[in-house]
Amino acid sequence: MTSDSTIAKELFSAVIEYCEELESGRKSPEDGIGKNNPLVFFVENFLEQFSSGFCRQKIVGLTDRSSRQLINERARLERKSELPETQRLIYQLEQMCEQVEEISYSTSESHAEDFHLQYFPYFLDRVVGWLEEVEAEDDLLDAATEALDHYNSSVGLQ
Amino acid sequence: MTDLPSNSNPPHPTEATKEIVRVVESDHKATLELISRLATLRAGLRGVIITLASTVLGLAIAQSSWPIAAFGVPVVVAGYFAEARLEFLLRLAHDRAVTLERKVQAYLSALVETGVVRQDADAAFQREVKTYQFGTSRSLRGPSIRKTIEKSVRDVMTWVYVAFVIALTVSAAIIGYRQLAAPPKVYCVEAGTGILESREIPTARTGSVSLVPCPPPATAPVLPDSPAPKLN
Repeated sequence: MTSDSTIAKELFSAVIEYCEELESGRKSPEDGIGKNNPLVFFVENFLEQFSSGFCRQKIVGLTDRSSRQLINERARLERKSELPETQRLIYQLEQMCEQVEEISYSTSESHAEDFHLQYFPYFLDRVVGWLEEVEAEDDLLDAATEALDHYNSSVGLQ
Repeated sequence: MTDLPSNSNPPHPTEATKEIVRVVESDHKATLELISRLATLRAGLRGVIITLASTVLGLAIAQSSWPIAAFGVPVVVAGYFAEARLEFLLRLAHDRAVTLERKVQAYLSALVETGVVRQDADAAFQREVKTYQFGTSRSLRGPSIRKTIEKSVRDVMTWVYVAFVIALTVSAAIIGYRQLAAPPKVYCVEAGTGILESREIPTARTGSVSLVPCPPPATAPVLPDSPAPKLN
């Protein structure tokens, strides 16, 4: 399996743009997570592209239903004991489905901070791990690694 | 890639882990009770303020009384601040409940997950445990006025209160202007006959209608007899 046809490398530019907004001070990790948040946009599109190319059915939106579909996909891989990094990526996507729905209604700054400083960088980390596992094209892996490094640097995790 | 925690899966659940989860559960229960009390208090306050504001507005219009309408404005503003404060506390408590639920969920995931994902689930649970602080009171401590107002802007009830303030202010202004421009019409009763008449009688009363005895009619001046004009 390759990820070449599933994930568009341009998708990672959404993360880079968000990093630039963080660096310029226009955005802050404490800002609430709305449905039009660029990082939520990134995760939603990533899930759609990932599921289109990899899962048995296309999974749209970060919802409870999507979470259940992802759990089934992960269970399938677990039974075959294959693609550990893919299983870990799916697990993080499940977490995203649970978190984003919940956080988007929250007014808590600490919830937004948790998303920006814990969940999202961990998710990006799993994306890079998955791309390495499936031996993705170099430019796609480079785009993902650059997004991860840039993001970690923007939020002060490096 | 980010360094992950060690791959050694500790046996779950340990006694310490169970104790932590018990504390989180009791904290969550207390938070839900607090949410229930705050919600009840907010509903009661909302009912009182809306009823009071409606009554004051209706009374002011019926009585054409600008002081009553003006009195309603600070009442509604005070009601808005009280409710906005309660609403803010309620949201903080709700966020707190969500945070605690997330910790218990992380614990359950760490119990349930197996294989390669177990490591991530354990790491997530450890992270949740380390960021845990007992007690809801500290989360509700000293909500700032600025944040209270900022958050209330998105609340529908805020705009209901704004509508009441506008209605009361406009009512007071219109009633006051009318009374200044044209004194209220006063009905009077003719002494002896009981006939109701409408006359313009100067009065300091602010109400639109009042019933007073008619003043005695002004007597016409008696003119001396004069010769009839000559006609040519």
